[in-house]
Amino acid sequence: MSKDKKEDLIIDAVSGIDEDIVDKNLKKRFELWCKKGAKRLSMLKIAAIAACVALLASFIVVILPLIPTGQIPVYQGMTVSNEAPPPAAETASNRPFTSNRTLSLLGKHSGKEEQKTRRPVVDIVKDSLTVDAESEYLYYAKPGEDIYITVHINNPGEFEILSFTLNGVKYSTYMFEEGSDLENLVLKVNVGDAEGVVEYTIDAIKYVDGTKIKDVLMEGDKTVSVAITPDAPTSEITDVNIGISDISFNTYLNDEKNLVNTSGEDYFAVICNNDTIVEKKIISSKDKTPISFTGLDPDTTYRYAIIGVYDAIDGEGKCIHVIHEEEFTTQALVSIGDSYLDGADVCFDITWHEGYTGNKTLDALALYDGENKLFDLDVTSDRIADLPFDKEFTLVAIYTYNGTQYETYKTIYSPKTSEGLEMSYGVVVGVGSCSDTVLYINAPIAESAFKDNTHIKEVYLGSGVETVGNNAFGSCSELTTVGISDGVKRIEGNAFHECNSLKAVRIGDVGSWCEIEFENTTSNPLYYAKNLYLNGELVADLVIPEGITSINRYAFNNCTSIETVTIPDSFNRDNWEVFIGCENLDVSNFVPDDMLAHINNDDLIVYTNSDDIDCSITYTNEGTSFNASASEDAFPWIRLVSKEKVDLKNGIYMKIRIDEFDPANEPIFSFMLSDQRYVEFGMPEYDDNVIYNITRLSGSDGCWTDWNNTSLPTIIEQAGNGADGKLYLTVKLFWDEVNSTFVYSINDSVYYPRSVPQQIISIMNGRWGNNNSEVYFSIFLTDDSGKVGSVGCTVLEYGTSAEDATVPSGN
Amino acid sequence: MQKNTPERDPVTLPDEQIVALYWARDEKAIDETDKKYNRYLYTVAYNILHNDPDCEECLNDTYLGTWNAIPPARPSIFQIFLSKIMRNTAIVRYKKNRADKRVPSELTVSMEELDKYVVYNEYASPVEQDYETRRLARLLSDYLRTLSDKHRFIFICRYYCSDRISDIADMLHISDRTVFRELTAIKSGLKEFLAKEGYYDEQR
Repeated sequence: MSKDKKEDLIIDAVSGIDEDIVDKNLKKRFELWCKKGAKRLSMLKIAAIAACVALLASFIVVILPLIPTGQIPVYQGMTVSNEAPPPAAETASNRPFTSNRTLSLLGKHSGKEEQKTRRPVVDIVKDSLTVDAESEYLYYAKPGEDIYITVHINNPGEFEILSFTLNGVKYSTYMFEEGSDLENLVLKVNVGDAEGVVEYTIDAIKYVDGTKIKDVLMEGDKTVSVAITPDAPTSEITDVNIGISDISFNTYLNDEKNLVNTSGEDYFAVICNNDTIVEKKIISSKDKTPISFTGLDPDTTYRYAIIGVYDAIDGEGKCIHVIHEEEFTTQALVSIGDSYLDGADVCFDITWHEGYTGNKTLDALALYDGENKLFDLDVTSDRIADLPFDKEFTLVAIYTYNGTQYETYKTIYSPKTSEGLEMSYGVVVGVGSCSDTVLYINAPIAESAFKDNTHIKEVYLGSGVETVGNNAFGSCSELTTVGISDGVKRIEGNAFHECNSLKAVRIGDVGSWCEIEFENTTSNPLYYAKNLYLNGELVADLVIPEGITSINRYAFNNCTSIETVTIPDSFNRDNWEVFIGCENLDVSNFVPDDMLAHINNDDLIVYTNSDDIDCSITYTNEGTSFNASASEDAFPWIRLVSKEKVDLKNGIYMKIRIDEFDPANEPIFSFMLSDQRYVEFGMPEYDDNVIYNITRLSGSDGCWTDWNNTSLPTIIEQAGNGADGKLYLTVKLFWDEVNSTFVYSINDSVYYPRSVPQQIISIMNGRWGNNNSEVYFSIFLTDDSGKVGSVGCTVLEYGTSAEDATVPSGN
Repeated sequence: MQKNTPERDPVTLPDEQIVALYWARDEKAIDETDKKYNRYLYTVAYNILHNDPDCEECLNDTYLGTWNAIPPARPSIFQIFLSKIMRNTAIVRYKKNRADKRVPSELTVSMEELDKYVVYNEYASPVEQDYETRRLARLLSDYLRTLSDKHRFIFICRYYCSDRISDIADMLHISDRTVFRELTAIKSGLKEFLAKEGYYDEQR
């Protein structure tokens, strides 16, 4: 009863083994079972029927060879060796994942493999060479030699073997040799000096079952013969030369008694792999004979052996003997070196055999995660970017050699997350105890996590870093390099604020970079670094991948390394402002035809189709006009930087550039150019936007007045629009010279000359200032006939109707 | 890629379609399962029961069990799902047969092999027994994770599936003797591991 319960315990424990282990092996077992096919089944059926018959008859132990006869140990036979057996194979514990997989792609791989169990050469050769009149296998030894007799016992019950008798002499356990186990007992015996055949007969093998001593069942041959002769053939191998797929050597055979010729057979040289003969060649002469084998797989371990068939004693029987056996490994044609890191890129070197003069191009190169292929690599690659941290992968290289494809593989390691970082709920909040100057981070980064850290020099953000918080690396003054992988999705404001030492931003994929949400300019380290590196190389020719329609406006700010950019058709060309600050990039080839200018907080770039290079810019901001001209730094925070002629595809344009020193001021949203209002891309056309007027100081096709801003108060308070939606102003315009042909425009509407210099102007739709209480307007005067000096404007009255805006007559 | 075509009736359906039939409550599901997996499942039971009529019964019980389990189950690897139901069914049967002193099966032999490594306290309460069972299962899992793929495979085949030595040798294309040797090494490794984990220390 309790025996059954113990069995239950074991069954249940085994059933409770972790599912992942069980499932994986069940899967493999199923695959291998299917390959065996129906063959086995018929034997199973036979066994099933036999079992039923046995059951019907009585409780008889089934003797079929498929089913072991219960627990009683069974003797199978003896084998003899001239060398001590190797110690028992160790279980592979904690063997690091090496470059081997149980299923290879091609079935033919070079590269080091896990040491599979190897069949002995003698067994392999016996399987494939057939010999006439093969006699019982004879073992050989020289007189006075020690031989090792191994007694083979089938012992599933794992009983202790106590002793056996050999040629009448009893041998107990303590006399067995090292390397013995419960199923193979090894005994060392000296063969004595007499020549001739010696027989060893085994008998009375005893084992212990509990407290009883019982006999082992004898099923194999009880006798083994050993021939004692000093004259067994030997061989000498010299001048061994091993290549990538070949081996050559010279053989010299010593066969004084001419045993092989007597037997009528030949000497052979064979090459064996783990379980079969690969090739066999006849050695035609006992004298120095050159032998060579070709067509072997590169970087593979084989064995070569010299085989002779003979019978040393009485010439009657012929046995296959291995005269000499040696292991060798062919040279590798392609090998993959250990992986190493360059930043967060995993780099590897693929070397070809020096002597190889053929085509040194791989057929394929791919990255695997265990058995799963992740992706193919270009065969000339030497690095992989954006691999998830803390993992190992297998790099597989496939090449063709002598018409056959081979593969070799190597484990490569992705970067390891820096240790010691301070974490809180899975988020990096500080540098913690980590003292490295190069950090590898693989989790979201909190606000200010590394703010003011003046120790770190390089930071690599892995795929686990989805977000970088505000000011995360603010004022990291020693930071020179930032690596951003394709897992980073959002970088919040000022994340890299004042990282003034930045020199490089490294990425692995342009598409992912284009999709990162940068909250503001200094969220993007490229703003300071100015140099972008893709897969280790400086990006001069940027290629935006297909499918990208828009890019975050800060993505390429200030990237001066870019010289050209290739844009896919999917790209929304209105988004070209992302290339602001890319001073070495000519954006002209993708400026949309109708978008000749853009504005941002820092720059106004205007393309105007006038080749008049004398021009100034007038704009109003918060009700005050400012005049920027090339010839003077008129105002502290606006400055005309440059004017240059630019050839765009639609003709010649003028590029006018303004610097705004104080970006904290109100943003500039729109400007006027040649009566055309331009607004910042993406902003709706609010009437209350600050308007730039661009006036030309001189020009042949019209005179534009220089607006004298000091006399124009342009702020009026307004209590709401009039019933007709308009705001009315009475302004008095005054200028030095009266000219009847002037025109003026307010906002977009052009007004024709009036002789009376006092006008009632209605402003449509209101142009509200920022707090809905101020109104801006600007007046633009043109004078075709000549220069007009200063123009002034006074707002005399305003209201929601023409009546309200009428100036009282007393004025 | 290596070819892995099993030698079977080429008219069998792929697993996803068979599972879909169960979801649709279409009785063809059982026919198709039988057509495809009959022989394989039979051997799973045979290792445990060594008895044709018992195996047939278990096969039918398994089909019924599968019909009842899907839905709601949606097995990702159908073959493993079926094998486990079959194995559990066969083991239940085995325990019943044991009382009648029927022919020992491969399961008996393989479990006896592990007998000497396992500690059993017949006086422990059922709760303690249950704990011990789970503890042993955990230790076995931990030990298996230290082994090479091949040794792990051999262990699972021998002790979970109760495969014969020659079956394992056939699958791996090695000799029976090699399998014996490997098993011996695996078992002595297990003994060492269990001793190191203190499994033998606590005698109640």
